[in-house]
Amino acid sequence: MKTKEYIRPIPATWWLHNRQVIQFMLREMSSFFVLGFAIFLLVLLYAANRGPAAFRDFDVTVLQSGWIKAYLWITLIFVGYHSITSFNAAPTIMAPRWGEDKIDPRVVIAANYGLWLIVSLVILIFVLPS
Amino acid sequence: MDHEQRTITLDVFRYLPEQEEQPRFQSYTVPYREDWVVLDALNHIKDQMDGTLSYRWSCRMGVCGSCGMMVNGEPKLTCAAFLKDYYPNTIRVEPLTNFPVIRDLIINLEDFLHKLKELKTWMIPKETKAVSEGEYLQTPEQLASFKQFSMCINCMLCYAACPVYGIEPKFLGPAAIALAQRYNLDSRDGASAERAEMVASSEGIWECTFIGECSRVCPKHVDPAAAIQQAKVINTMDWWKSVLLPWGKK
Repeated sequence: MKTKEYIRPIPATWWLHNRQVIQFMLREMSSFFVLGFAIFLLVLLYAANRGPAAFRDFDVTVLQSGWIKAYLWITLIFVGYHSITSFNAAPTIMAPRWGEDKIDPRVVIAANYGLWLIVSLVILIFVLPS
Repeated sequence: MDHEQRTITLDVFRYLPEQEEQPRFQSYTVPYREDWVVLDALNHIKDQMDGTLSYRWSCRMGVCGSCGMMVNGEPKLTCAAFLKDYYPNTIRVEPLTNFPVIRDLIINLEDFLHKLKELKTWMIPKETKAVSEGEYLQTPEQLASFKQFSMCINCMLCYAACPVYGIEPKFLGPAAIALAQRYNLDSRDGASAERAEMVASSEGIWECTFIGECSRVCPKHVDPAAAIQQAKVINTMDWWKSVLLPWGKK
């Protein structure tokens, strides 16, 4: 005879009970900031494309505003958090092997940081002279 | 002699479906010994204090995977959770979360067993050979590609740790997908295409949000989160191949 089973309810605060899950939720939330920054860049490109005078106007009215500066600082923190946690997760996702051995996860993480640095330097080289 | 006088209290989840609608916690104070694990304390309760307490256990050495419980809210094999790591505080023992409770600390595993069957988590040889033709040979590299995922003992700690499974019980879950991946990566197996539809379904790998708790609590270091993410990469590559090279074989 089958007895009645007890199903435990999941509280709405389930994600606050564990530090790792809180970190995960922050990583998920940081995706919105990555998306927001991508949209901001598109708006910036659109403004630049309208000519120097229009861009100066955009700079004074929008970019110099305290709200935008505060938003960009918060975005920087979350995008940084998103990048770092994604790099740290990379060895789990890729797990490359060398023969029988798994490549040290630190090598994969370091390769990601190295690539990040190289791409950032290349962009800086192109952007700074102008 | 001193350790014989010390005691530790366990708050144990009790649910007797024929007697009560709701579960409750019952406190038991047991002798404290440094070499005891939570399972020893439960066995002491069962043998010396309250024979009505129900729970699963077998090997007492982290191999059978049957004594998994929540110990202070964390999924643990109780045969590997030492009292000294909690002493002198009270230890709260509950059945693994995310599963229906049959009685006291015993959970219903039917859902998992059904998923294992659906996913065909066993060897389906690429080619069948007569015994006289010898063994199915494999190189050390081929073995290394899946060995980690073959260490699963079906203890269900990963399911108890997975919030996605708690919220969406249709999710195939970490251990079942890791075991499917174990056979998919095995050079002797030829059934990855048969498993692919279920593995890549909305209840399969794409339901996983990569929280990583399954791997953190795994007592055998199987790393089911890695199995799922790697299956996502393989599935995505297969999809691109089918789009870009529709005439080619996957």
